[in-house]
Amino acid sequence: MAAIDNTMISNILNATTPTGAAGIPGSFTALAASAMRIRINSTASTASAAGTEIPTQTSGYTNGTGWNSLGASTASSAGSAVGVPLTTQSLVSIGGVVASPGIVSLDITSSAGVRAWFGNFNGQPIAVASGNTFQVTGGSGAAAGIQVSLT
Amino acid sequence: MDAPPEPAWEPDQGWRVIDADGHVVNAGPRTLLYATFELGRLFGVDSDQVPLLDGRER
Repeated sequence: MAAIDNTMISNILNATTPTGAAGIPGSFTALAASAMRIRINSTASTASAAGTEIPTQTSGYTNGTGWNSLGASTASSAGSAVGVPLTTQSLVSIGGVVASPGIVSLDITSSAGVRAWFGNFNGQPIAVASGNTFQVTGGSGAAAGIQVSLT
Repeated sequence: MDAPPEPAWEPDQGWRVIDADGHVVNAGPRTLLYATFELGRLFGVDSDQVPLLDGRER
């Protein structure tokens, strides 16, 4: 399953092919230059749209903001994957859809909410009962809980 | 009362759910987000017919 938002796919393709004037590379629309975020959803995201974002939780997650202190991931080198997040992310469930059916998918977005990558959590749906804590492991490179790669 | 210390992550864990007592009640492996730029995305229905340089077809 492709894991890149359709708009971002076109962004990448246009910037790396002769789609500009007289065959120059097309322009790349850069994401906002502020810390990126992870949006958590109770339904699956697709290439054309994000899933339904979970509501604000007891702590650790605010609807519309998501996880926004991911830390600086190790940059890709020679085609290696990028691990996200550097810092472990946590939320304390308020119940509701996070308890049932549970957490299904995530989007990696800019600070302005522009989607780049998306996908379902391995093992979804993840039911997090009220009062329980959901965490995604942080780490450098391959140690991080989400691995992003392009081949 | 202070919250219990968080347990250490197990190898290959990507996510986990912890109860109020600090017990891991569910966990899963890392999530992989990957994309492949396929020949078919560039050449459409003829993608499987494009001869390689050594004369073989895919």
